[in-house]
Amino acid sequence: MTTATSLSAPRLTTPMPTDWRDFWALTKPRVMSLVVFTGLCGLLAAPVPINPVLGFTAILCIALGAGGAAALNQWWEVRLDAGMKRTARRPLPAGRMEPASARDFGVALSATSVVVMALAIGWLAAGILALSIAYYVGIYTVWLKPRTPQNIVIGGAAGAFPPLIGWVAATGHLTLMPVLLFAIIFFWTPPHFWALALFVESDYAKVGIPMLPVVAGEGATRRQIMAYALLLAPLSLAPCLLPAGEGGVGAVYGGVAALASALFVALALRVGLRRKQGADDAMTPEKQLFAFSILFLFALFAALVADHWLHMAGMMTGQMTGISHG
Amino acid sequence: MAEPEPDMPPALGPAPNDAAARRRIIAARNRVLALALLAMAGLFFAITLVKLKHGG
Repeated sequence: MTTATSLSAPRLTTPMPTDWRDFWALTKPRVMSLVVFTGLCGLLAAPVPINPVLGFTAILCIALGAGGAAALNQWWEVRLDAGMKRTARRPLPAGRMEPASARDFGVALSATSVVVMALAIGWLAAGILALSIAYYVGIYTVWLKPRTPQNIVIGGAAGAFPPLIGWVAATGHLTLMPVLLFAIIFFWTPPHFWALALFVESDYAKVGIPMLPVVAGEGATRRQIMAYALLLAPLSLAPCLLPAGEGGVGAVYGGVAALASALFVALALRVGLRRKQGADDAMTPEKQLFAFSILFLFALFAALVADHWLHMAGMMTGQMTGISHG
Repeated sequence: MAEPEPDMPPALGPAPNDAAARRRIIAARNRVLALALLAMAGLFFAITLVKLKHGG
């Protein structure tokens, strides 16, 4: 009996159903948390207050859209992911999920996010959300990522949409301030990712993705980090020049932006003006720039919201004083 | 190559352990889906109330 069982033909097993945690992993939750944060800041910093239920719905739609786009990205890039150590354990390349399930999940999340945004918030916010999903999946993932070493710059635009969508969800229209927020993230992305690319050994080259450090070399990457950091500094301060009625900000944001930008430029110059000193180089300046770039973005957007709230609190106090004196 | 004996279990379908794991995964997935749908229904209800109240 024992012998018979051990000698039996291979069992024709059907694959295990996909765990819900694999669907969750497909949405790239860590990326989504940054998307939610910047989207929320755009929504909270807008000069028009939004009903909490509608505000929550708008942020949920931004998160669902980002998750859907991430799922579609992984569905398209399953072969690339399988060829890279960092991504080989994702649900699709690891074989824990059928590609069609990932595609359908991505389409369902994306469509739901746009439709709910349109019905609950408005067509402009929904249109920009749809554009951001189409941009990330179609223009970045499918078209330009495998073709140009500027793929990080192009991909940066996809990550820059959330504060714009948050702002438009609150106000209902597009003005210069949300475009500035978009531009800040757009110019922040290249130095952030290229600093990481300088000290993390990636195998993008193995799967034929032309990342800048691989294609143009270390020197060109360092020069471009400096260039983008120098462009980012004045852009970060630009919201201070706008009038308060158009979402312009005050001293709190100005102070944080000036200090953070100066530090960012200093760290970027340090990275830009050095070269890797042999194989045992600890790459400390690159690691510091990468770590600080995350803090920079959080500090800038948190200061934006804090500044707006202090301004609103000041106005309310002024009105109360006016009423009590009247 | 040994011929399978007549009293061996059929080669089709999951092993008992697999079947239990399969049931667990599907049950957990159904619970998460049900919670998500319930949350969406609650959200739509809240949105409707807000829209009715504010004439949006």
